[in-house]
Amino acid sequence: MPESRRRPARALSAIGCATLGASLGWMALSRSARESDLARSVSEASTARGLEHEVTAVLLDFRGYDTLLETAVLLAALTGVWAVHGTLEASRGESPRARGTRETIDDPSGLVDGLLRVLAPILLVASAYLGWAGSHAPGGAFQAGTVLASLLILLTLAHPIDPGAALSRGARALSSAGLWVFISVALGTGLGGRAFLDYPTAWMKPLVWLIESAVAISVATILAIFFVEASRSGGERS
Amino acid sequence: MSGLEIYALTGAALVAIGLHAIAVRPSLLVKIIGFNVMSTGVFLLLVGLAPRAADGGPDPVPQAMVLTGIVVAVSVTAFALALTRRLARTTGCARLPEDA
Repeated sequence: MPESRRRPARALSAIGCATLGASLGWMALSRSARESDLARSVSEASTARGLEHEVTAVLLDFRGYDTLLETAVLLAALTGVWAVHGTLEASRGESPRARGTRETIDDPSGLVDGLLRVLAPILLVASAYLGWAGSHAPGGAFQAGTVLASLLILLTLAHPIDPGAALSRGARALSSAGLWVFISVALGTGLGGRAFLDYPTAWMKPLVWLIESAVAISVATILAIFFVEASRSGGERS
Repeated sequence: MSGLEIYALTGAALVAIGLHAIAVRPSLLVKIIGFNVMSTGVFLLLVGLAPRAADGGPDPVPQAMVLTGIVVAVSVTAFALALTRRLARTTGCARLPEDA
């Protein structure tokens, strides 16, 4: 389509989007500042449940189902990426060409290795702290997983791995561990005569800790595999 | 006015910018970036509009929703990028046909 015929459509879109933005802004300004009853009830309920940090209480207790499905979404996206990239065929060796080559970084000065030696312990400790802090301060499984993923990505940059390794049994087990642990706990509470995902208050801390650790490891693995898959070249050429 | 409206207003502007990019730019990569700008705007809007709790602390419910939303947005972005790359490899072009 020639540029001149596209212009009205662009203008229409610009006007529509500007109107939307302006009305959102107007809504933001005109909203009466009121105190939230929801925030107070969340605060009271999470103290009663033994979780001092409200965001974690909302994520894992009151809206646990959302978080369960969120881990499932991550896993579904990973499966989709593998399917679209044809990684499974590549790993079965059906098309050796499809294995592709990994872009590697030339690191004659050893800069990346040196940086990793400094960063790896810091990132590990930061990730463990974030995960542990989740129950009483800002932090939690997803933050911990993201920091851990950055370490894994740095590692794959410094020491390129075979794309097939991202599909190994271990990597697959780690990426689905969070979902399995979450579902097991949810079914366990069901078998114990409670509702799905309704943890007994006495078990709250250990169960939340167990779920958070498993989800953090899965998030880290999945994000790192996204990166490995993205930097793999030539994989899907047939 | 609590001085926090600036976040919500920035969010509203980002939503408009992102949506415009999704609507008019034929390049799929730009559309994905537009989607990310727009979702960031929605998150800012949600957090900026969150009512303050009684003790002045933030309302945890929108924060938890935004946290969930960020993870879903990352998943969607990864999958969209994989699809775009596959399309580029197959057709040699990562744009939508313009005279459809």
